[in-house]
Amino acid sequence: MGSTNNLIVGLDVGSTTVKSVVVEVDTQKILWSDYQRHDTKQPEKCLEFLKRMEAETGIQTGETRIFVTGSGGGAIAPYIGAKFVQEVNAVSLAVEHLYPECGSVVELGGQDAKIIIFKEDPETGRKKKIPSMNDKCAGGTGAVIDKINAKLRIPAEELCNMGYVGLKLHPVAGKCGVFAETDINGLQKSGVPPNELMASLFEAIIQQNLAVLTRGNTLRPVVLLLGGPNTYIKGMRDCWKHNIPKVWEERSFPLPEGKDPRDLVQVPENAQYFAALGCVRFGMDEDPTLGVYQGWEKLEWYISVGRQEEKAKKGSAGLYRSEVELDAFKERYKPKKFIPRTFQPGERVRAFMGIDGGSTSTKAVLLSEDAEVMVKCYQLSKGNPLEDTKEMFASLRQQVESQGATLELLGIGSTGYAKDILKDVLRADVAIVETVAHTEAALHFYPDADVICDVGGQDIKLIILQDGRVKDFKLNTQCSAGNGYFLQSTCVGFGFDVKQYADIAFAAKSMPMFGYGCAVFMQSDIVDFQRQGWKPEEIMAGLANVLPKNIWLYVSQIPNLASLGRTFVLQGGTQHNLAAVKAQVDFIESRFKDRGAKPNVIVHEHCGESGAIGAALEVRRLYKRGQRTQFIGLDAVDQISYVTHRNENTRCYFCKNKCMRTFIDVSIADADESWKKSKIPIAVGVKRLIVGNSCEKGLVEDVNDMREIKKGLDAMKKDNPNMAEVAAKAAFKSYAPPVVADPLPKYAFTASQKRRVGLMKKRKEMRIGIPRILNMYSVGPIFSAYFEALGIPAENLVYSDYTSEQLYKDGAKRGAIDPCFPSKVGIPHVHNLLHVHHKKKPLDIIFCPMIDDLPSDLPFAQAHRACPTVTVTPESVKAAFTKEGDLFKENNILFLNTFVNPANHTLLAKQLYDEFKDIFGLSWEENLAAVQAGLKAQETFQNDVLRGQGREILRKLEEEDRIGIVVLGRPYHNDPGINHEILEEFQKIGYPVLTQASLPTDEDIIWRLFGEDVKAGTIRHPMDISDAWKNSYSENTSQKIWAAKYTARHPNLVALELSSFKCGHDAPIYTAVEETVTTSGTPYFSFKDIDENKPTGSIKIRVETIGYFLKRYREDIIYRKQKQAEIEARLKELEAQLRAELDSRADSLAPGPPPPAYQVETPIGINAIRREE
Amino acid sequence: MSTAPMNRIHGTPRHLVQIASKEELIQQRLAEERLRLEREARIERGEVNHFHKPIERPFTRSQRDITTILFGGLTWKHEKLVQAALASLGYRCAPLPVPNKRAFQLGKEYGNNGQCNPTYFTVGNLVQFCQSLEEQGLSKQEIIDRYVFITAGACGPCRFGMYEAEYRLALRNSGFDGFRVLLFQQEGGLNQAEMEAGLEMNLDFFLGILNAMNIGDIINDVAYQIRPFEINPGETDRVLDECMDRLHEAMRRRRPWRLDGQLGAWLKKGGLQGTAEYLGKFLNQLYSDELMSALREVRARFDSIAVDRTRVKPLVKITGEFWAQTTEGDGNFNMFRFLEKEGAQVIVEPIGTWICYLMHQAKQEARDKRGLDLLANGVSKWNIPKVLGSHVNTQKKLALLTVAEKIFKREYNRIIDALGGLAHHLADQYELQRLGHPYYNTRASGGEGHLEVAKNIYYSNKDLCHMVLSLKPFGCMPSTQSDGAQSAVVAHYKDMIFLPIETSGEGDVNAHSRVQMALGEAKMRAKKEMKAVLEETGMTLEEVQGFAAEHPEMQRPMYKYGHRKGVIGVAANFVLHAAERMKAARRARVYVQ
Repeated sequence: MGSTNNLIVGLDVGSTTVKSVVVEVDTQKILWSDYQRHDTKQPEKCLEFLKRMEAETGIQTGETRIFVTGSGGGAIAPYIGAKFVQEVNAVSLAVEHLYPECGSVVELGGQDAKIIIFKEDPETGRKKKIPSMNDKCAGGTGAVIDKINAKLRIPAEELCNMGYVGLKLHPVAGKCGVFAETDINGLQKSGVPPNELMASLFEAIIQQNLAVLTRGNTLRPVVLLLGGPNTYIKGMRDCWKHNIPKVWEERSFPLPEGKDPRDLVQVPENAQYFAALGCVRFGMDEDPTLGVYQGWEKLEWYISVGRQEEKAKKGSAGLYRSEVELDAFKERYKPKKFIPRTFQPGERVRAFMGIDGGSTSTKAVLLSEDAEVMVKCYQLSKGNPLEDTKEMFASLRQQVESQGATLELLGIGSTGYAKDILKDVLRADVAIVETVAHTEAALHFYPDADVICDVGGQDIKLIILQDGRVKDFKLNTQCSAGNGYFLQSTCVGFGFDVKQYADIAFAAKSMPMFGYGCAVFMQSDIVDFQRQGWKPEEIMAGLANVLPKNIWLYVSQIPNLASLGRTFVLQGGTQHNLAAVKAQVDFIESRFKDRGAKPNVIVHEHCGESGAIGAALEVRRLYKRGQRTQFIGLDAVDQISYVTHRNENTRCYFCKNKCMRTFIDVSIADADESWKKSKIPIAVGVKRLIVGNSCEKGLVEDVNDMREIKKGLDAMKKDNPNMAEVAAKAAFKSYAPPVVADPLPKYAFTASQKRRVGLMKKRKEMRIGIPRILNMYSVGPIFSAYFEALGIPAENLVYSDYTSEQLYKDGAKRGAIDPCFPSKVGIPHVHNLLHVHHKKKPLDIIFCPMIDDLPSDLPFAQAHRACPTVTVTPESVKAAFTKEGDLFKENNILFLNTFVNPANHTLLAKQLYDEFKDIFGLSWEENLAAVQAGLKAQETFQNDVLRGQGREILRKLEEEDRIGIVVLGRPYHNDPGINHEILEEFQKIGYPVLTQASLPTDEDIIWRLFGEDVKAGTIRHPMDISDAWKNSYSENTSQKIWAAKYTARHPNLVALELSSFKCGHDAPIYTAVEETVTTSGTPYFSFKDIDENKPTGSIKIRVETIGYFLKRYREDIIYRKQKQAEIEARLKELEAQLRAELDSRADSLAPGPPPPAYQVETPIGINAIRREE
Repeated sequence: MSTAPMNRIHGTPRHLVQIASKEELIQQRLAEERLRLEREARIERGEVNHFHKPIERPFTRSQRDITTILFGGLTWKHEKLVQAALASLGYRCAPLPVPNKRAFQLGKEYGNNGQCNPTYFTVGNLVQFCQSLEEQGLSKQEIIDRYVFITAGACGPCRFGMYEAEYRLALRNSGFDGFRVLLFQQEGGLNQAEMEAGLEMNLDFFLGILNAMNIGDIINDVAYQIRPFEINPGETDRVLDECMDRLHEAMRRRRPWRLDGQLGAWLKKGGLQGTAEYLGKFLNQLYSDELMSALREVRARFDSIAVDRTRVKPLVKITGEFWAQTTEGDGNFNMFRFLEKEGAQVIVEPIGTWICYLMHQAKQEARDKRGLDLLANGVSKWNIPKVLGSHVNTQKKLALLTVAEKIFKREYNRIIDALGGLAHHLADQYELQRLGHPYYNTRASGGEGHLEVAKNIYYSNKDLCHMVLSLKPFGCMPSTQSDGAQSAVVAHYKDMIFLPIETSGEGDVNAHSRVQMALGEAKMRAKKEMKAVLEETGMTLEEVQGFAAEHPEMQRPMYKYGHRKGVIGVAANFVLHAAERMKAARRARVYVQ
């Protein structure tokens, strides 16, 4: 042991662990080291370490120096006299001294990830440090592994040995821990084993870090892997070793000769202590008066006293103000005890069964013929819906049969994410989408409900009613912020049973204030609050308290609850938690305070089983209509056994998605599918269910079956055109403009004349690559026709492929920023041109214009600007390919990000002339003629192709009383890779899709729709939007508003808004667009926050729900039309009658008694859910 | 006889029977029956309503005395001076408090989802202020009637121009429907029709705002240059407070220049009073000493603060999005104070750069569009009168803008001089254009346009800072793309330390940590620089400190010394200067001996 002032302590206080070293300065020997999880008790663990260090190494107050780092280090330092060193600086100092040959460091921590690249300047040999850290998002860090691991319940030791090499990988979103969890959930339920799930997660995390954290830079060898997950988990290391060399190869990065690239990715000795060692290193270079250890006493004081004071300042009172208030609440919301019906021995119980296969739990009920709930059961999902269902049946049967009665099922209805599997296996009579089931169940018990708020495991559903009809509904998108599962997992994480949640949370006298929003951020908040000393009960109270904010403000964004009505029905499993209910009730009531009113907030008496009840009610309705059940029988349910297959043989090759499907072979009596062709033979007595397919084609295995399906789909698609798809093709086709190029001069004398001739001749061979991105979907024809008119053959205009997952993955790693997805795909598209198209046949130019404004038909708009993100994307694309050497130059390609203003034709001509005069040898005249040709092509594209077809669609809709969907989106939403093929789903269920640009603007139509407004002086022209939106300078935004107005006024159109995550121009008009559509009573649906990952499950439930409501909406239209015709006929009769009467009684002016009322059939289920038949 | 006026009888008197035509009767009956049948069939459809943007209530001249104009979005120093300038013109006005996290939460709650954070902060701040008035006992209607809010607007392309709608939405959602939001167009001035002269846009108004902005910029800069070196902690802030009070008073008492007396009467007769008054106001602005004398007082007060310039501090230049780089609160994680606490010296961004940028861009646009009218109308180049006319028009516009630019800079520099010449001069827009254009097209507007990139290169290349910290709000569209371009800038400029930080209402700890990461580098650079300077001069720090202690003028903030090319830090440059003086003193001593 050296002298105490010769010792330096390095203490690294991370988000999940504390690491520390004691180093003897003279010898630079590590005398003491330890690494431990702190279980959110950072100060306590530090205190323990300090005491041990004092005892074991003799560190001394006033003598030894101490330097701390890590996300929790800053808070600890002042109490022990330590000097804080930022983590990245600490790590780089350690690396520079211990591993001078290191080129990059990748450190994954609990909640943060860091990459440091040491880039050598070839001229000076000096190393420049390029450090980067994740910002507040914990996506791509150890926290995601922890979260998933907690779900999969893999023991720590096993996790460390989990592999990567040779394991099958499945698509998992690495960007966000919540999305990753959603994907893992789905995969787990389709039978993917844990080792494959973890390997897929490793891959996702590493891809996320490579794509985002490297900021487009190449990791230099030798790469050191640091931090807990990299050090301890074999699979993580293997995954890096696999992926980093791939990047080197792709970018032809020079590597030291004779070395296996995998060996250039290493985990150094003491990898977990690098930050702590860096602290020591820092201390060695600092003034000896800095960081002198002051003992642990103040830290101990902080733990026992200081922290409490800090807490008191930051938090608020608990979930209630007084015991009296709490008691009153408990009394009012005490769950009504459900008493199952008793049966008589020998009784034959005739019942309707509803089963809800939810994401986290399964629920089932038996409904009597009078629609009363007789028995019910609920259980947390064990991961397989069939297994859960069998247990549900057993439980229900047991409740009936144990009393000596027998059960006769009159019908079965299923709902929830597993509804289709259950329908197939059980031969259930109906499978209905969750939203509908929940609404039916609520209205059955509470016919006066104005709002239904269903908070389930993963989903939040809000259904807004008017006179018992559904007026609007809102679902959370892929984000699960504010759901019940988050509360549940936090509770379980603290070691409590979820049933104890409310009691525990009510015990808290104060609570921390969470910011509402993203669940990942809340997760970070939890860690932070724990560090501040908040107790589990207080954190749980805080979480319950923030739930209503997430529901009403974040997910549904309805701050003004009082406008929705008075009666709120709360349902879904989360309402079992009275703490959550209390927060909800208080929140809802607070929103009524201003109005001097009080809402009636009711918790559904069967809140957990409302979906199952809804399904049972639906089957009961069908039964009453005469439908008889096809159910396989109770005994057959017991016999259900199944085998799942998921391997290369289950992969579908019928489309580019190449889905890895899961086959579930269910043994069912009478089933015989053994004759079907399959790579995995089907046994006799087995029914094969195919899941995990992303489209209908994947429902079968045989190519002929697929062709049949495709034929049906094609016919449906033909009947219901998708104008987004049409536009996506038409924007990039050749409009065969006349060639307007000057003839080759006969004589060329001067050097410049000769040069021009040479350039003109070259035009024929020039190959121009054009990325298929952003506003090229709107003005692409201008440029293609411009080039063609100048003599560039159409086949030499080479477009990048449409956006796909693969295209994105291949090119995204060069990106340095994280804008909206449509902008982010700019780099992958240019990458695709460079690495795919250029390799096939070389390109001369990549033309990626910066489009600053757009041609417009909207008069009186302030301006017609493009979105700045969209306009400037080509600059960040250029940066990505020129920062590490000029890749364009190396490939002999000219990258042109010409700045253009298509709204100003003369300026556009000048801009193109300036850019291309020396490339094509242009004359001003031919340039001008080519621009004219471009504008002509644009007009053809816009008016003939888009609006022409749009007009035809609209004519048919009106003629056939059908509904068409207007996509309120931006031009790039026509890209199938950006709209995630959502629009196609609507085509498949029988709705044609119109885009803003394809709405016909013929005078007869627009005057019909807007004429009244013009006459009233509200607007000056049918295409004037000033009545709805003032700040009309952004063209695509104004177009969206105009299309919303159009949709609101056309009886055959409904609106579907698409918006990409981070869209800066959509956010300010969310309310205006929605209110423009809905104020007129027109249905409005939306898919917002569309991002790089395709949330298939969420899309499915939304499409089904929207499909259901549209069906009802159309029924309503037809019904109205029929009734209107009947009424007109009746009125005609009446008119004749009146005229006759008046003629005969010319002297009498008093109107006679009204004629007898006509019998009018009560409308059924118009635009709504039925209540009762 | 009753003296009450006789009511004019409208319509048909009750006792008389209206005889309707047969057709009218039939139509009435049919309409009644239609309604009944439709109701019975449950298909009656009331009038279809359509959405309309909120109705905007005007702020009129007659309401001026009972209405308080609210504004915000700058630093408290700028706002205090703007308040004084408007008060001098007879307006009641008040700046909003610096937006805090609660304001952010309120903005999120009442606004649209997915906004960038200046919207959340500023919109929520207004709602919070209105709520605070309500808590003080004012009714909603009183608040709506007695207050208006004025905010800047723009015609794109970034979403900033749409904020105005967001204010209205949040006010509606929080129960203040009808609260007046007035728009001040950056490029077009106030919309008079909208204002109905409640707030008069005239030369006095503009000059008042201009003075407030410029003085605010410069005094801000001066304080940030002194504070890190103050010997007595807290002294700079104390002095700043006093000085701001003094300047506020000076501006508030100032009265607009008027042409009166005999000359005025005489000019009035000739119909020239308007022009002459306009000219007089300009000349008064350019040559009057009214404000300058107050500024000189302030300078003396600042100069009384004792400073130690030998402290080695990394110089951090702030750039980024307009609001995030300006606000001094939760909106940018209190970044300036944090940096100072971490041992840095901050160079804040003046609003003047933005004003110059707007003028520069207008000139650029005029040049780009030169002759386009001729091309668009197919005018032959031989049509000399038209060609000439078009070019003269462009030149006129350019000349006017150039004069405006020159006057603005002259005024700015006059204030710098009055405040001791310590503040930074405005960066040259042509140079910024030259530096930024290769990475970010200077024609692309929105946000700070090319400025973020250009300022990064400018300040790093000219040895003006050790590190550039770019503050931008989460979701800022132009700034995000600018960061994409910066990735190439950083790769091409070898010694640049550049850190972009996305600010949002949450995540202070992480943001501060990332700043510490880059600051660590900058500190090492500053230390290295100091070490090199000491080696070069052969002095020790203690020797320099000792010399400075013996020469009190060297401890004054306004004390001048040079800036050597290649040397960035204040301390390093000070040591070089002190060393020269020390050597000179030694030589002098030797000579005397």
